[in-house]
Amino acid sequence: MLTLTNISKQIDQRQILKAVSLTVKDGETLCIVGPSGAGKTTLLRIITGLIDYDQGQIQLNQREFRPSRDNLQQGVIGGVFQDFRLFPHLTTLENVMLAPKLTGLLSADEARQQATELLTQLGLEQQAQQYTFQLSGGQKQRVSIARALALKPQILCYDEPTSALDPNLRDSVSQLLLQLKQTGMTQIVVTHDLTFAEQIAAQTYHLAPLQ
Amino acid sequence: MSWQYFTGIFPALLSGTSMTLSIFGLTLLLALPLGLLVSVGLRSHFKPLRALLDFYVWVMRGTPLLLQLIFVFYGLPLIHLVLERYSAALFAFVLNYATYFAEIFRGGLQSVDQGQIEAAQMLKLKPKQIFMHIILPQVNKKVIPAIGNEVINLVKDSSLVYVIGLGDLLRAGNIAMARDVTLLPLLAVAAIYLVLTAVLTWLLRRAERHYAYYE
Ligand SMILES: Nc1ncnc2c1ncn2[C@@H]1O[C@H](COP(=O)(O)OP(=O)(O)O)[C@@H](O)[C@H]1O
Ligand SMILES: [Mg+2]
Repeated sequence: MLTLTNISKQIDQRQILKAVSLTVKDGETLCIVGPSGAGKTTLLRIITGLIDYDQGQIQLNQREFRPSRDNLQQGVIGGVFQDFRLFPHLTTLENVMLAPKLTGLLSADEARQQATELLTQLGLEQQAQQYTFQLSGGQKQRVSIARALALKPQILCYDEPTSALDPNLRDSVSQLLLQLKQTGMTQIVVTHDLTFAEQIAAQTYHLAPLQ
Repeated sequence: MSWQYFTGIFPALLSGTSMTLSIFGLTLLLALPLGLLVSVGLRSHFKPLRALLDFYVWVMRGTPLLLQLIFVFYGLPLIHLVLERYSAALFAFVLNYATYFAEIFRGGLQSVDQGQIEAAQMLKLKPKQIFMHIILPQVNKKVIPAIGNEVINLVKDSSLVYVIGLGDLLRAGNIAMARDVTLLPLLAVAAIYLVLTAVLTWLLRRAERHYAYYE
């Protein structure tokens, strides 16, 4: 369970987030919706530890958690970027096995084995040896998800997972997220696509822009 | 007759070539990592370091290498820093070439998408791992053509070591030319340079192709 209490963030002396509080229970999918500029990406960047917050508290499973500083043992919150950000110089398989191998979570062999399994699970076994520029948008997204899953995160976050894809892929993304939910994955999804939110979410959090 | 002449001067040219190659190889071996280090320093947030490195790059790129060679060999002893000829040559070449490499690497580092670094941070990689596994391979692909130009320049620039009395390939040719009053040694010297640059060009093409597997 992830709990944010009164999280605030300023960037360049501008208040971007003010006293954001929310809870995501284990196995639940939370949708964060809100207009453009409301701070949804910023909130995800805080949750995934890319940036720090100014005030407030984050708890992971009832224990104080600082995503930007805490290490693997204290918990992992994985993320899938809007534009995927796969590593172009690595194959699909290497993209997925890199982090567990380098962080020491798994041995090289275990990391390879796990990456193969994840790719198979996501229907990408054919693409394992391809470089990422050869993949379609939907495939890139699934590699990005596999890459994040490889660190065995407690929670997986997505920033606008449908925005960089063909509209007709929306259903397959929601199916994938539902499929992950069935494996027990806790997920946080930023979107402003309300139909999509309805398809996947049990809970919705509205992030209102500050003014 | 001229064939016999060539075989006669060949040992001298060969020993000159080995000097040329040794300056070339060691400079490359030392200046590349130093240049990479300098390029990282040039992007540091620590202003005094950046200012110092900017100054260093400015001086080395803003004055002739020939002058730097003379300065290191004849000038530094004035402040009681005496280097023997070969070390002096190497010192000047490494310091000089490192700045050209640094500028190239700096451009390469700038070209790496910040998003790649964030993706790696989110995957809990440490800064050093991010540098070695994400940034450097992408930089290498970008910089190889420009590095290649400098590598070819270096082969030819190495002939400047004659000024402090080192016996490189060009000097070997010059000596034979002056002694035998013929231009033939210079033809042989040119041929050897051409062979060296041809081999290097081939190697560089291979390196480029090695990184051509993506995008
Ligand atoms: N690194 C940054 N520097 C300056 N302003 C930023 C930065 N990141 C976000 N912002 C600002 O914060 C606000 C919220 O941005 P963002 O979190 O991307 O919103 P959303 O994802 O909801 O569209 C925007 O006004 C944006 O300009
Ligand atoms: Mg956003």
